[in-house]
Amino acid sequence: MSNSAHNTPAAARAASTIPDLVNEKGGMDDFLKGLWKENPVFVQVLGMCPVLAVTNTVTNSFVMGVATTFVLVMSAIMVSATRSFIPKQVRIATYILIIATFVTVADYAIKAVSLSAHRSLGAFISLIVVNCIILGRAEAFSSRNGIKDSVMDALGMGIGFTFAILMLGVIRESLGSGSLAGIPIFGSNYEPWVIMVLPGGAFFVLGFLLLGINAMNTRRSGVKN
Amino acid sequence: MSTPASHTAPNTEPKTSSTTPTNAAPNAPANAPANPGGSAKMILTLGTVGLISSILLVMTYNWTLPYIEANQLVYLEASLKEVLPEATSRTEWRLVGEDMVPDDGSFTIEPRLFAGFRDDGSLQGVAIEAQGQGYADVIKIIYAYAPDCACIIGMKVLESRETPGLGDKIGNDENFKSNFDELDVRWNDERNATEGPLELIKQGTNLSAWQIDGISGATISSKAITDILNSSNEVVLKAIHARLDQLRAPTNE
Amino acid sequence: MHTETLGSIFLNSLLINNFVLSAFLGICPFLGVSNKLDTASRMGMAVTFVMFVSSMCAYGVNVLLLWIEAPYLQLISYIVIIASAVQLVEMFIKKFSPALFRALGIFLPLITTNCAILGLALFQTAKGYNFVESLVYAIGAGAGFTLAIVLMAGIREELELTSVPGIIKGTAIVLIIAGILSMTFMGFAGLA
Repeated sequence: MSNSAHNTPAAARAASTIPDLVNEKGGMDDFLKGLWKENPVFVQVLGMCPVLAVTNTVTNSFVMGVATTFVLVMSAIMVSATRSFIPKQVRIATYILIIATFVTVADYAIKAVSLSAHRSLGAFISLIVVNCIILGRAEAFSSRNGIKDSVMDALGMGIGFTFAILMLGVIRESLGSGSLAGIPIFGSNYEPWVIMVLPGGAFFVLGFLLLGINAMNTRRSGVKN
Repeated sequence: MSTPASHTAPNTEPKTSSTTPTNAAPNAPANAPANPGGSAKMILTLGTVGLISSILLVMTYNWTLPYIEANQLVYLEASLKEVLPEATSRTEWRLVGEDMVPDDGSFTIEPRLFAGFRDDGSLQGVAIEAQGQGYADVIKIIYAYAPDCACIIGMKVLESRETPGLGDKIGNDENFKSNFDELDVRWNDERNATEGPLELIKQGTNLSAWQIDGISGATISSKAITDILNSSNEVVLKAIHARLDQLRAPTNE
Repeated sequence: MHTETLGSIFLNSLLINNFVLSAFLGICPFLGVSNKLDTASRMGMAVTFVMFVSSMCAYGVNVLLLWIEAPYLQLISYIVIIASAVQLVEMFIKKFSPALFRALGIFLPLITTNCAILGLALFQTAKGYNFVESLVYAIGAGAGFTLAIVLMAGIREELELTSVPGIIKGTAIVLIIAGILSMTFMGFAGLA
């Protein structure tokens, strides 16, 4: 394709505001940055819907994290492998097609493995399609890097995302139901904070986690300066 | 921090921040390409990707379908076991309008009914799917009706979004569940109406055979279950008794 | 057999299971576009409008998919149909109502990736709503989104005038306010 002027679509525009940290060391750094420094949830604040919606139990969080990582990695491979054939004008449409395909695959796979996991996540598996993290990585990274780097990047982002929602899941389930992955941990005398597993609790926990991270960063930069 | 785009692919362009719309629609290129071959290539690309996607999806669908169906069967049988513990075989029916017909697989949203039979071929009861508005969202339940004693002999909540710790007790509170061990929905002499509709009462007050002992702290959810049972019974019980002889046969002819 | 009346569908989607505060759909615009009352209300209107249109489209597509027995194409078709519908709506408004286009225009492309729209299409299918019920559900959900984002914008405008500690500024305080709003909305449960 020629370098004709093209439109940056809205979704890509959201993605392009992410600092485009492509580095020369490749591989390992692409992987590691997603875990903390550019954590999709805590730092980039992307993909908030599943983060809030499915973190009421650890099991739900884990399934959602694995499914999202799967879609991230598979679409990174596809986008990266086809990046030189796809005309600029239709690339977002192509990415969405690719992502939607793998989300449907993940949806059926979860249904085949465990119906109860599928029932408790409901439509949120399908909604991985519109998780901005995935389209964001496809546009900002996979579309301009080789397969190996893209996979490392996607894995890092996926594991960073899984880590973040597991953290929320552990806090919400342990306080809200007194259990972890369905196994009671606080004994029968524990009176659960029901609010934690209700929608309000999701907002509170994430709000306070972000507050904590802000406080930590402020303190750290205060020490440095 | 590292510099952006240091090993970008050669064909990438500098990012622009125009606010023109997304090109998600395949054939809506707001920016027509300079060369006529461009749009052909775009259509070809999208077509190819679409084709590969469809093949992948059909493969996944066919491959997972048997597992999914097996899972659904396990789930259904577990629910039936809970409401009709003695039943070892069943026939499947659907409620169409005010009548029940054998399920031949051509129905989608009509409520399902299952006639459960004991080992000796006698009918233990009919399990009925029902739903209604709860405190937070729609509650879906399955309950079993035994024509012999004209009573409800079991109830299980299939789906609810009631408040955890309060409303969701309708699904796991043993005391509440025991209401449905033998709940009277007897008919009057004309055999066209229940003696009295099911009634929700305060926890711990004296219980008659057609009264449901509510859960304190979950009154609205308990009331919702009562209402679901009443409105479902109004239609279903007539249908069951109209077809009782047919129902007692262990196979659908 | 649906036991839900149109009224309870509307109340359910507007207040009890509010898309933003209870179902967590459309969180991105809720966090991103809620700092000005004026933009927030226009965003809400645009979302409601697109929801209405895509609810109709999704209903049609679902009928078609059931007819050709291809349930595995559901997600792909929904996302393509929503994106196309948004484009068509945009062109249509641009041509026939420039005033409306100026008010809603820049929000329309953003809405394509709003999970509330796809969520609406998926939920109405999962709940087995008929055509009229789907439309009522869409209007309720859109109005609910508008209500939530306008409430949040109102609070954030007031917040501008107070001194907020540095560490809680930004997303953190918005999330905590959203938590309080969400708890408030729990009071609506049992209404339908």
